[in-house]
Amino acid sequence: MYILKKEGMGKWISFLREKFTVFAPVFDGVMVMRVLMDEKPVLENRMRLPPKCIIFPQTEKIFGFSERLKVDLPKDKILLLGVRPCDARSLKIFDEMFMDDPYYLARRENLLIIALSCNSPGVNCFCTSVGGSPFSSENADLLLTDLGDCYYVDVLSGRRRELIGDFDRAEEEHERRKEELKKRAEKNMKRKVNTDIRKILQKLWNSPLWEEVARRCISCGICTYLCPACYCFDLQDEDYRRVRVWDSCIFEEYTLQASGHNPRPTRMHRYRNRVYHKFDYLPENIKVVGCVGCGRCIDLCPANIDIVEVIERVGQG
Amino acid sequence: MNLTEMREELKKVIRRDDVELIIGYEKGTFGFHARASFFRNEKDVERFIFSPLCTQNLSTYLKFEREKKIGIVVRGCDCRSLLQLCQENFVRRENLLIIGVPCRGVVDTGKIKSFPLHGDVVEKGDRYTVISDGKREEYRREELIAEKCKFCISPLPLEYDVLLGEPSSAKKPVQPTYEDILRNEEKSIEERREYWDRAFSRCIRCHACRNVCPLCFCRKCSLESLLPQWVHRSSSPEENALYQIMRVFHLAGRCTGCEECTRVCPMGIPLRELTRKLEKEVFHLFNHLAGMGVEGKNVLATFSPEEDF
Repeated sequence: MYILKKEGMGKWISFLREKFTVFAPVFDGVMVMRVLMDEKPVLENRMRLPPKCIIFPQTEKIFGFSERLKVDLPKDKILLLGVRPCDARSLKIFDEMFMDDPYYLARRENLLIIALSCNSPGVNCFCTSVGGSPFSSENADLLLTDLGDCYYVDVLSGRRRELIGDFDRAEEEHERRKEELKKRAEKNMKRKVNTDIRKILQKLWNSPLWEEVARRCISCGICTYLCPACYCFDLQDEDYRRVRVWDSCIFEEYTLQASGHNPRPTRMHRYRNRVYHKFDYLPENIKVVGCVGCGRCIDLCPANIDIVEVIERVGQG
Repeated sequence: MNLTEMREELKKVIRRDDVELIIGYEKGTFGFHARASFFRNEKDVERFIFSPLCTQNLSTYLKFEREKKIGIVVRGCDCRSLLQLCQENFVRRENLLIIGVPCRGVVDTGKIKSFPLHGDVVEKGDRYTVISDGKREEYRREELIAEKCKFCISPLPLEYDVLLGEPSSAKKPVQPTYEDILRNEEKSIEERREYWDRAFSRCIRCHACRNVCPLCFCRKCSLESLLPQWVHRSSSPEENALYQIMRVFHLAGRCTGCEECTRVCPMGIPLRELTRKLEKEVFHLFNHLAGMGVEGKNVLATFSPEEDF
């Protein structure tokens, strides 16, 4: 394992930029992930949008009608710098759902992730309750940990030669400091909840709970669009091209059929579906909980619908 | 009026035979949040809270609730939404029991520097005491107050059936001046274009601005219409700008300035600058402000044969 001195960061990023299109968090009104030009990345804060906005873009051209249905698959070698462990873990769900999707795979195969451990998780973070950790290295090629004066670098994939710059070898002292930070971060995780609720959910389909929770819902797409694990999309034909765009199960229109019938007509039906999809259907179908505990849906819900509170309520039966 | 007295007043309301539901506030689940709460009986009312953190405009929920007569807790600005909805015949005044609160301004929690799991704000004179996980911090009112409150023309609800507090405790109203918007207008077209391109490039089209708006109550929205499709579903600065232009123009002369759109935008787009710009234009052209009473005509849906063009 290695040590990257903070003053060496700029040089290392230039080294990476020679080989990859480097995306990193920068501040533009809110924290967004942009192709890094000459600015310094802002690694202290987490991005508002999860990395799905890069590998599963909100709008993606599938083909153009006037070009004999020609498909251009993206060829860029993408490197995501400063992705948080929860966001990196979410790719597992995308890998399962889009395993046959050429557009996703073209990006995924050319994707490298340099994750950054969360030394101080946010108030709504609950990754440890869904099998994650603020120091999880799942899906990451490198994991950086901020030790104050330097970054501790875990190398996790065989892409060492492409990624490792002018680094020093880590010493035992560094390793000890990293372990300490990890323990402290996990201990400081303020929210904990038992998310193994499949059995209880089976009995709660007709519970008044859903009506009560969804009563606050304004049917916007914040919880789904900001969710690192939500992957629903719609296909649209516009301007001589077919595009794939994000869609949200919280929208009334999502299940509306051409006949006018809507199998999920109310906010209750739609919110219930969101919870069942994440904590029942996905665990059953792909053996993964559809939530990585990033807390974005709690942070930004305009009506303060809180998924941890809902899971707790479900747990009470 | 303290909280216990407020709850007693609400209990009196819910005991009435004609009121089936009160929409009020309760403590949120984290940080400085307060959230909407639905009271059906006296026991429910025990959850009621009121503080400078109760920022959500509850009149939005009239889009969803089907009870005949609803009691609804409103500040001055939110009350204007109700009155505008009455003007537009979306609800009848007699089916509303307006529970007004004389308002001294709400806190924009984005201006508080801490992010506690449990937070509260206590108002004392012209100062706020912010309590973050037990730690206390003092702020001056101007430091935390929401932008909209600085321009508020009606801190005291213009109409109410019950008032939680003394009318005199409301903040002083200000005249509509729109200095902030006039300042924006001094900037060059190029500068403004760049500013909004940047802002709209962030938009993720989550529809939160539209859905949270109490006045966006159309059953079929032209922003979602497929035949004809006015706005593409694909997201780009141009399409997103078109989305906002359509949304905001539909609110011209109707927007009452509760600025919920700005509060909820997850991408920090300064939508208030758009809605206020339209509000300013309507005010200067027609000397009209939305939601100033139950009676009143919708300025852009009214035609007089004597009008001179």
